[in-house]
Amino acid sequence: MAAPATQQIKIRCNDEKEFTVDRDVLERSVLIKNMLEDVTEQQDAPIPLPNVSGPVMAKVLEYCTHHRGEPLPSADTEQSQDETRKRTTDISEWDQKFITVDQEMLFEIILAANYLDIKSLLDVGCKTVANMIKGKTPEEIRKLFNIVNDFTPEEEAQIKKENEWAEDR
Amino acid sequence: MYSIIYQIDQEIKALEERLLVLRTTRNRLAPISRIPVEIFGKIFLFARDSSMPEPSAGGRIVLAISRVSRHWREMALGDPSLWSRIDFTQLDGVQAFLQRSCNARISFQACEALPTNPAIQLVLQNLARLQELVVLATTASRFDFLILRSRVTWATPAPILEHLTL
Repeated sequence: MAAPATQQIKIRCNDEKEFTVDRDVLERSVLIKNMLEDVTEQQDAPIPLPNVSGPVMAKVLEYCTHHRGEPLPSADTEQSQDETRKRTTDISEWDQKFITVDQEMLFEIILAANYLDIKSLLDVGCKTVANMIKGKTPEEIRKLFNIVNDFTPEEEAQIKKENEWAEDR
Repeated sequence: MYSIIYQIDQEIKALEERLLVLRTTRNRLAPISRIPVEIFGKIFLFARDSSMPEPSAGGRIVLAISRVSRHWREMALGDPSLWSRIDFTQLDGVQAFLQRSCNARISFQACEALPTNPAIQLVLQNLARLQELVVLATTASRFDFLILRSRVTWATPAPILEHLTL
């Protein structure tokens, strides 16, 4: 029998921070949903989430609460998106506001969404980074993400040669 | 005198090599480097596909990605699907993208290119993995398009072609 929507579940993050959350909110995470389905008896012990910290989980829960009740994307949806190759980077207004965070938090949210298996949140994170990259030169991308050019002179020469056609445009 | 110069040259070389190692290590510590390769793959495809409406923009961003750093280049070259959408007609570039996409299904879009364009002819040599072909040209004759259509659909059919716009 399906559990009532108001059932409360406790989770514990890697910094010992605990949250008590409605089951349907937590079930946006396929990882937690599967965990809960595997447990037949009600447990009082919190579910340990060793890969997520409290502040990041708070953010993830904000997303899950806002999107509670929405249908979870099926494997078919994902496949058809890949097949038809219609990937856009459109993000809804609420999601856009939600994901307007500093880079470190953005990457943490992406990692958490990947670990917790929340596909829609992972997509929002990936689209945000994609939008940051779009239309930029390699040097602009380096500056944006605080990385440096570490190519050897030989590699640089090779890249230049390979891409001479692109420079002609 | 020459031996001192040689010694200095060797020292410069060693320092330059050390610098590169430090730069790579530094990149590994950047927050973005925590993202795993498979997620980078998703990000790159989103960046490419959402750039596509603008001619050549998809190809341009893929090239930019492959020139950021050694790690980014490694990830880009290791993902044939990233190179599988071609939205330009520079022959060398088309050749490079066809090569780097290995056996991935390809999509080709060309604006203002005659059906006789060498890049289009090169793409037609890969009919077996052609999934999408879009050629738009206001100056081409109806006859040119008829020849192209017959090549794709009759003479040597493309088995996985799903979308043809001429």
